Amino acid sequence: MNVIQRLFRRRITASVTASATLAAAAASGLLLWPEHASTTIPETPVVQLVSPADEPDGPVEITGLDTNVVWSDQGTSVTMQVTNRSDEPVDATVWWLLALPGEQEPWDNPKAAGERTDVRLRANTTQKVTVPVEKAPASGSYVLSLWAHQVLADGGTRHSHGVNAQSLIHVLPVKPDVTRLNDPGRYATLTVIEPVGRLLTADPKGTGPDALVSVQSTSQQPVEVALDCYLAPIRTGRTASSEPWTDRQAVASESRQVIVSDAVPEVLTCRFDELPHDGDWQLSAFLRRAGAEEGGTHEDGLYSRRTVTFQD
Amino acid sequence: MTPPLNVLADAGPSARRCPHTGPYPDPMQRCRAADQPRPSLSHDLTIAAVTAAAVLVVITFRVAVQTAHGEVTGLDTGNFLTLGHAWLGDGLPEGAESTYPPIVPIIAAALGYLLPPLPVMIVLGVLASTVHASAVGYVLWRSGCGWWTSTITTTLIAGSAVGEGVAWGGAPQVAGLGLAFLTLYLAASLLTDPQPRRARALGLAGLALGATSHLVFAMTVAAATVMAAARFLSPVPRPTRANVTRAAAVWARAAAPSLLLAPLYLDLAGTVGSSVAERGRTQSFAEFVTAVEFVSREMPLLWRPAIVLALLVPAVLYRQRRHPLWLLTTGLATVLVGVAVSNPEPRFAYLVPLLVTSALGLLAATVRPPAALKWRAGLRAAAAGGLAATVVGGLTVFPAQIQYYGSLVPDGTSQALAALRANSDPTDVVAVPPVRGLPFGWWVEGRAQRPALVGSSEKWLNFPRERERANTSVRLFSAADALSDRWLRSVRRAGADLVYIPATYDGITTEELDRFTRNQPDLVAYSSSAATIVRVP
Repeated sequence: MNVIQRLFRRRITASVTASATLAAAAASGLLLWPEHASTTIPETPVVQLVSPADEPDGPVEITGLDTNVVWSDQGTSVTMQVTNRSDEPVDATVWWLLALPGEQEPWDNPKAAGERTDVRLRANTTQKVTVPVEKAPASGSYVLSLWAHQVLADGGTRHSHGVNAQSLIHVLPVKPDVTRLNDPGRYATLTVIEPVGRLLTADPKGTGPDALVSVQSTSQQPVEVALDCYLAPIRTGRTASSEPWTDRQAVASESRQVIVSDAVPEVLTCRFDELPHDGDWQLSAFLRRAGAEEGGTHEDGLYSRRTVTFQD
Repeated sequence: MTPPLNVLADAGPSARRCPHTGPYPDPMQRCRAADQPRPSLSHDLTIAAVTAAAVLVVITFRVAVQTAHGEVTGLDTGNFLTLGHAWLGDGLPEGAESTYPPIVPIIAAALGYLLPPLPVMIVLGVLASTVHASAVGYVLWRSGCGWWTSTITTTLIAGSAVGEGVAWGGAPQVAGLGLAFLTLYLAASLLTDPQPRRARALGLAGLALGATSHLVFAMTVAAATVMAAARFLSPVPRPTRANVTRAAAVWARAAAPSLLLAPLYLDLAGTVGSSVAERGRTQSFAEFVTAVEFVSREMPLLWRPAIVLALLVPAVLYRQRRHPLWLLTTGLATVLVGVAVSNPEPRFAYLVPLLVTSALGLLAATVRPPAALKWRAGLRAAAAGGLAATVVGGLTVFPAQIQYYGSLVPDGTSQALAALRANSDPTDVVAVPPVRGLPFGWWVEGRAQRPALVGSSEKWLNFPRERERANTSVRLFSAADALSDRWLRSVRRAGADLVYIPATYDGITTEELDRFTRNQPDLVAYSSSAATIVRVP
C-alpha cells in the first residue's frame, strides 16, 4: 500500500486520473452508452434451480443459475454457480443439457448441450462458470439440467451433482417461418408461431406444448386478449383455410386469456386436446379482444409456413 | 477522564495535519493547515446565503414552469393524497391496498384539504427540493468545501434528476435522497468517531428518511453497510472490549428511533420487498445502464466524466479514508457497482448523482492545488463553467419534463375531478383505464376521493389486491366494443357505478366518445376536453 500511496502523492496521479476520466467519458460519449437493440426473442421466464435439489454425490455442488438468458435456436451460454464443499481443491467439469419434458435420463438423448467446461475450485469456495453452447437446440420447450463431475487424478471423471431448473425453457427461432395476411393488430400482435413437441414428433403421448407463440402489446398500454391456435387441413393443391374456425375439419386449442403490456414480447403456449391422424396441416394463431361478436373481435393472426404432417 | 471512543479511529496522516483535533481527528470539523485562519461566521453565512439564493432561483424557475403549465403532472401525487387520507383517519378506499411511509402523504393530504391539486404538487416539490438542497449543502459545508458547497449543491439541484422527480411528483424520492446523503454522512462520522451527540443526530435523520421513502431508506442501509465494512477493514488498532461495548451502545442509540418504523417496514418487506425481489430476478444490466443514462441526461457530457471520476476517487484519495466523505463515496460507489453487476435494480441509479456529489465534495474538501500551479485560475474557471453549463442545461430540460409527464394528465383534469366528486356518492365505484399503462385512477381516488378500479400495468403495483383490481379494469377496457350496451353491462357486473375516461386514454377514439355523447346524453355525467364521465345504468 505504501507504494500506491507514494504513487498517489505524485502529480502523475492527477494526470492519470484526469486522463482515465476523460478517456472513459469520451468512450461513453462517443458510444452514446451501450446500445441495447431490442430482440423479437422474448426472455425466458424466470428460471431457477428446483428446490430442494438432490443431494450432491461428490464435493462439487451446483448452487445457482443466472436467470437473464435469451434462448433461441442459435443456442446460448449458461452461467452457473459451482461450490466446492470439501476442504481440498477440486478439479471439476460442468455442462448443461436441454431435454424434452418427462425425459428421465436427459443425457441419453439431449436436444441441446453446453460444452464441458473445466474449472479448478479452491477448498470451500464458490465460483461462477459460464458454459458455452456446444449443440444448439431446435425450437421447442425443454427442461434445463446442470451437471458437475469431479475430475479424478487419472483424468477420468466421477458424477458429483446434477440438478434440474424450472420452469420450462422455451426456445424460439431467430428467423421464424411465418406469414401474415392482414395488418398487425392495433393493440396486440403476434410475432412468432412455431410448431413444437407432438406436432414435430407426431407422438400423441408426448408431453409439453404443441406450439409456441410470441405475443406483445403494441404500446405501453396493457390489453387482455384471447389466444387460440388452430390446425387446419391443407387440401391437395390448395392451401389451408385462412379462417380455420370456419373449417369443420380444423382442430382448435383451448382458448387462453392473457394480459400483455409494455410492448414486451411474451412466450405463450398452445396444446391441442386431440391431434389429427394423418395428412398435412397448417398451424395458425389468432388474438381476439372481447367484443360484441361471439368469441370476440379479431385483433391479429399469424400462420406458420412449416407444414405439420401426421401419418397413421 | 473518559478516553475517546476510538474503536474505529486511528491516528493517521490527517490527524497529524489537524493539530486542533488532538490525536484523533474530528471529521465534523474542517481540516485546515495550522497556518490557515479559521473562517469567520460571516464567511460561512455568506456561503449559506449564496447557496440558498442560488437554490431559490432554481426552485422559483421550476415553480414558474409548473404554474405556466397550469395542470398537475404525473400521477403519484394522486396516490399520496389517497395514502395521506388513510393516515389521517379516512381509511383507504374500498378495494385499495397500499402501505407507504407517512410524511409526504400526510403533508399532501393536509395541503389537499386547503389547496387545489396543482398548488399541492408545487408545494410538495418545493419542500422536497429544499430538503434535498439543505441536506446536501449542510454536509458539504460541514466537510469543509467552502465555496464549492454553493457550486456543487446548485449543480445537483438544477442539473441532476431532481427536476425529473419534481415533474412526476416524486417528492418522497427527492426529499429522501437528500436525507440519505445526510444520514450516510452522519453514519460515516459516527463510524469515524462514535460520539453520543452524533448518534442522536443520526437517529433523527434515519427516522426522517425511513418515514419519507422506503426505497431510498433501503438503498441507504445498503450503502451504510458497505461503509461499515470499509471502516472495519481499514488498518485500525485492535479495539478494547470496553470500547466495543460503548460503541455498540452508541450505535444502538442511533438505531433506536428507526425502530418506531419497524411495523411499517415489516409490512413493506412482505409486499414491496418481495415484489422488488421478484422483479430483480428478471432485470438486466442494460436496464441499469439505461437508468444511469436517464438520471444523467440533463448534461451528459459533464455527468459522464463526473461519474467515471467519482468511481476512481475512493482509490485515488485512499489516504483520506478517515474522512466521512471518503467513506460515503466508497459506500455509494461499491453499492452501485455491486448492484449493477449482481442485481441491476434500475432505481439504484438515483444514487449516481449523490455519488458524484460526494466525490466532488471530497475533492473540494481535501485536495488543495499547489499555490504555484500556473493553470489554477484556468482550472477553476473551467470547472465553474462546466458546472454552470450543467445548471443551465438542467433547467432547460425541465419544461420538456413537465410536458412529458403533463401529457399523461390533460388540461382541466382538476375541474373534472371536482365535477366527479360533486356528481357522485362517496360509495360510488369509478372504473378508470390506464394511461400509457400508468395508474391514472390514483387521481380519482386521491382528489375525487372515490373508490376506483384503477387500471394499470402490473409493474407499477406491489400489492395483490391493487393488481387484481387493475386487471379488472384492463379487462374491461380491452374490449373492442367499449361504451356499447353489452360493455356497460359488463362494467356494472364488475361493480362500477361510473366510468372516468381521461382524454389522454387512447383506447376510445374521440369519434366514439362524441357518438356516445350524442346517442346517450342521459348517461354522460360530465364532459370536457379533459375527461368524460359516464354513468353506468
